[in-house]
Amino acid sequence: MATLEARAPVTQPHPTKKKNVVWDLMTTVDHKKIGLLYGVTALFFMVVGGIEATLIRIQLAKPENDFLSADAYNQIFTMHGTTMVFLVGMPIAVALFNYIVPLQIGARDVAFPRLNALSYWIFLFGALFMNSSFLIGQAPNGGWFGYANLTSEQYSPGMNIDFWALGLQALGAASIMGGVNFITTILNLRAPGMKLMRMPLFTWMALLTSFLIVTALPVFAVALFLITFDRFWGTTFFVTQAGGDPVLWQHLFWMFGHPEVYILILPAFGIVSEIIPVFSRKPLFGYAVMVYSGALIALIGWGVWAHHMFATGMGPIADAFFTVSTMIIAIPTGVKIFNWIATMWGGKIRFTTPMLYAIGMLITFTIGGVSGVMHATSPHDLQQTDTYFVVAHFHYVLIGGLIFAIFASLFYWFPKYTGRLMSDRWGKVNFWLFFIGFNMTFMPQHWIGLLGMPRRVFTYSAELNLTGLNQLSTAGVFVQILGVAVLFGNVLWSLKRGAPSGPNPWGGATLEWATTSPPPEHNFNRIPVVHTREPMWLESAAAEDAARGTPEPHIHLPPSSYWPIFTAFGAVLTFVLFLTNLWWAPLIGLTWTTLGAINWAYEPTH
Amino acid sequence: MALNEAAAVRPGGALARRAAGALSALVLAAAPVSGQEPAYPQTTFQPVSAYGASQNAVFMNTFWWTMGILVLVVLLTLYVAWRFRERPDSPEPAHVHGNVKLEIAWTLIPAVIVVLIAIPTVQTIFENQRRAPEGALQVEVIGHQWWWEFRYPEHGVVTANQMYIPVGRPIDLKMHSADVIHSFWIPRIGGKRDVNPQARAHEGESPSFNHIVFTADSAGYYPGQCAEYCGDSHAIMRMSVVAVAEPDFDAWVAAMQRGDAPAEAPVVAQPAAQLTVPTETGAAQAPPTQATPAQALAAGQEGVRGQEAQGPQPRPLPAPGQVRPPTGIGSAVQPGIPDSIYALQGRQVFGSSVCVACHAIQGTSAVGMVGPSLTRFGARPHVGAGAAENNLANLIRWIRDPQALKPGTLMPGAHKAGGGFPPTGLTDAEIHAIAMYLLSLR
Amino acid sequence: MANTAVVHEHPHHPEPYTATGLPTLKLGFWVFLGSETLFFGSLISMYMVYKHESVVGPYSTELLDIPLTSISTFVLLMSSLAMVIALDQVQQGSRRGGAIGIAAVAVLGSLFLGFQAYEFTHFYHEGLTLQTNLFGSSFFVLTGFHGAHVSLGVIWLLVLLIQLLRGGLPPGKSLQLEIAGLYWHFVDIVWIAIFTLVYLIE
Repeated sequence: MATLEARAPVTQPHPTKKKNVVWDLMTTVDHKKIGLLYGVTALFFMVVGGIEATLIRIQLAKPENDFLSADAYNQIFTMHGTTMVFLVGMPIAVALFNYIVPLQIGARDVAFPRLNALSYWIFLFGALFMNSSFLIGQAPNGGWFGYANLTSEQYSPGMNIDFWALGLQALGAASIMGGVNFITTILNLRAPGMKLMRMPLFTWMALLTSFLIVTALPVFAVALFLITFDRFWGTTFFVTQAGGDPVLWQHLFWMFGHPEVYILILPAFGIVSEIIPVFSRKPLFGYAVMVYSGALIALIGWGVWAHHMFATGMGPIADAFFTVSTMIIAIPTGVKIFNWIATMWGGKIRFTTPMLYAIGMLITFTIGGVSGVMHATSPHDLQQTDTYFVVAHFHYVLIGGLIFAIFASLFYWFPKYTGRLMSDRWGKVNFWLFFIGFNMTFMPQHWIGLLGMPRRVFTYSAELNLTGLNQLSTAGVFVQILGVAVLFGNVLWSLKRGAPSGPNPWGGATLEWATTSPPPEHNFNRIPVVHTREPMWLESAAAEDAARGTPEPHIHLPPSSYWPIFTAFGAVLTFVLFLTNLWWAPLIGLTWTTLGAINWAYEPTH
Repeated sequence: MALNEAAAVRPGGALARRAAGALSALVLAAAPVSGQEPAYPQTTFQPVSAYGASQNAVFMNTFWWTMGILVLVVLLTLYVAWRFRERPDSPEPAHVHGNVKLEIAWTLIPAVIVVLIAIPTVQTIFENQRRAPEGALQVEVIGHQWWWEFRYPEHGVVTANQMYIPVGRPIDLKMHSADVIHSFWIPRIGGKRDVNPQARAHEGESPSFNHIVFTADSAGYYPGQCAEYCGDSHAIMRMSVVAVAEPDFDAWVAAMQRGDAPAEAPVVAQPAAQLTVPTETGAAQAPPTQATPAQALAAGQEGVRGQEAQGPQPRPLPAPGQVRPPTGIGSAVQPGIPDSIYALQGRQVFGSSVCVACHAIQGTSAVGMVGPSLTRFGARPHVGAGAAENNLANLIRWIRDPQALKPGTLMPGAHKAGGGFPPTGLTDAEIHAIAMYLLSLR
Repeated sequence: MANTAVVHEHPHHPEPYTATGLPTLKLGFWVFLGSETLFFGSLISMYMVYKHESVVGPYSTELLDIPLTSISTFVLLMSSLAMVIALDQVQQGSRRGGAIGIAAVAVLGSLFLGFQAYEFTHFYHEGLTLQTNLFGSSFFVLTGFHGAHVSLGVIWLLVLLIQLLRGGLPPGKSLQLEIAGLYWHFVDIVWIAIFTLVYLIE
């Protein structure tokens, strides 16, 4: 096979002794391996969060159920939200940024490979730290939004919220590092000729997402510091007796929290914008408008945070402002949807699994979009907010939008990761199961909410007369589980038995399809020079030759390093030792981190 | 005993009926039927105030516009996917990169729709947040973990978990929290507002309160609950509004003011004959503005059930006791002793127990402020802000071990501490007497 | 690593190609500073929100010493000037000038920290702690985070100073000092904002 021949001369010029796989992963700075680590970790936590979701739905399958205690339920719904946002949604997007973006822009790695590894290890350790709270039965229980002053020492005296605040602080730091890395990578490491407006849409959305990450997460970091200091050092930021205002927390949280929504959904837009053109065999309709609307969404996304707070009592002027700004954001979003449809128009549509998921996403995301406009109708949002109507809405956006796109991407890029195709037949089985189960679970929740059931309740009264709808919703979960089980089975089966894919099984247009599947460690034998937006359609010979032809004589890749994992461990250790309440204990972690950082700084990278 | 019969007819679990309920819910969303007792007591589709109705109206406006867009997108997507599916004879697609006119069109059309949605929305925002008119009845709403306190400064009345209001008079809810953030939500009255803890104000500044201003159109029992996650038993922080005609409201106020002060004539004199029976599926209702407190009580007693036992009101005591107290209490009950004796005994026990440290009963020496006021407790539909139906058995369970019915509640049990308070140490006989006494407070 | 063998080492190999023409490290650091801006922006906003909300004293108006802080602000500003000179010297290959410059920045930075330490202890003796009131909480947290940044900067500069003295900072590697300089100027600018909003504006 041509691909293998092209690989051989470069990656193994001086065969080294075979390394231990675990050690290799622990010290790797290769963006592809780190991407896979992120992806596998995120999928693992998707299972964890899914189990939590299942427990929630079992508890709500009947009124006054005692399957879970109030305390257990509150921990589980908090961790379900926190896990799905921070340990699934964000890292799975980062996994794709890692693997795909350098390939799409014709780069050999990300801008700061060791920083990339550091991000991953802090993410992993932070995630494990936060989940370790289950072992002592004190998982976070303040909701993923952690509203003050419920989360203050006075009303949450256990260690639950400490795990939450410290764990998220670590995860946030990891995200910021990742954001810095990807902005720099995308701006600076593009192949010659790849102007900004020639970048694939997915890379564009990665760039915008990264901008949102580096701007929104620091705000959250401040909020978390304030609550942490309140809890550990007795500051009075959210202590009402001292004049502190819990509503300040809400502003800080949602100033981060709403951009966070776009951090989660923009990558999905990027994925769908890659898949629809390829399987319609047409370029993306209105590329420039797609870029600008994405940028506009990211920008306006900063000016809508208080639409989460209409019930807080901000006064009519603020309500009106945030109502209108929120409605405006629907316009660029609508434009994207119409442009996707227009891309399909006149095309030659192949109904592969990724395309099915993309089309499914178009529909389900639109449902989430219109219920979003209903929320924006702030007088009635006072009825909707904190009810299951909102739960239905954001699951349509985050599952119907993000997860559908992620599953689409899994089928779409799996050949690139492994050199093998996933089973399309089982893919379709999995799509329909998941699509039906998803709608069965969340469509009834629109009515459950508008007929009077609040969110975050561990029990409800039979008198609400909502038992039937709740049972339907719970039943849907099991259909979804079946769908996901088929998906995982497909992945495992395809890893060994999938049909060999070759470098470009779908006729993709972008540079990742120029190189072999999986790509060599250095990605491209020579850095391609780009003249068009669709190099693999319009200049594929040159692109393939650069990627798989005669390698350039000197290819420099950064050597692997154990300092990232060493430093990450120290950083998370600092947070863990904070829990001891001994003032000197975190200094141990800090010293460890500093030691790592200094060795890092003076480690030779050539 | 009326209370217990009601407990016996809790809704069964017939799946078919539930499925039918689910189905009718779907229909309901599209075509709300107003003026009837709703199948869903906490529905947002059948508001009983102009405040709620205005919200429903803007929702319906938005709903139909966005449904139009949704249907368009879905049909278009399916059509395009079908029409342009790959066929053996499909031509290779032309590489179209865009169409400026089209893109402007599908930017402008949604923009126009947004304007059409935004205008009534913004109008309603301002209308609904006007200050209360002159003559509005102010009720101070105080959220506690996990119960509701209602204060009527105009009348000097304090009650808990069930708010009485007069039909037709503007109500101004002035809300704040004693601990964490709660949210006051009676769906049929209208949209919720957060009940925020007051940041202590420094000199020269007055604290700000959240308000809901509304006027109830019709008499009835409107349940609701806390909507902002507020800790362990957030799910069991329920309350209800009972809207009654103005004279009945005055009678209720008088009764509340008197409380358990030594004897006087019963307060309410209206015959209970007018009472119509609201059924589960919600057909009948008393003519608006004619409901008496008795009716409201009846409605409130067990949600929308429990009616026939509303004989002459108020009875001095809960009921003749065919009902045996639950196991363990039996020894406390001697056959042949009238309930009134227990109630009298309970009054004494209560007054000399630790209960009065936290609870108040108007007209007695109990003036505790930590827990809910128990004035006319026997008339309330629930124990523990919705933890259980209010009947003798549940009340005894509650006083013995409230944590079992409501996780995290501050109230200590007979043998278990709670909320930093030591166990009350009440004996079963004392608990039984207290329960009989509290139920007699109607 | 498989490819280490094919690496070539030149002491003065040309700047690698980048799409923007900026060194990657510098671009990345600018992005990081952008993120830091939001961090301090949030802290300063928090301080402003709580500025007049303390319910017990001591209040900000009773404690903040504008003349003294003006001096420490001046010291910090001068350190930025020294930073510019230090970078210039290193870029010109003057090890001695560079060392003096870097040392001056570190000393001035430490002096600023000394002022801050004095201010903190003074406030403490006046009865203001983290726990006293909203002013205490927000003041110490805001200026504390800034002070931590200055401290980190001083350590960073000292490390670079040692590196320079050992001959490890030739003009070809001056980017390292330039990055530290960006950081230093950023921290300085943040202080200007804090000084204006916390101390000067009533």
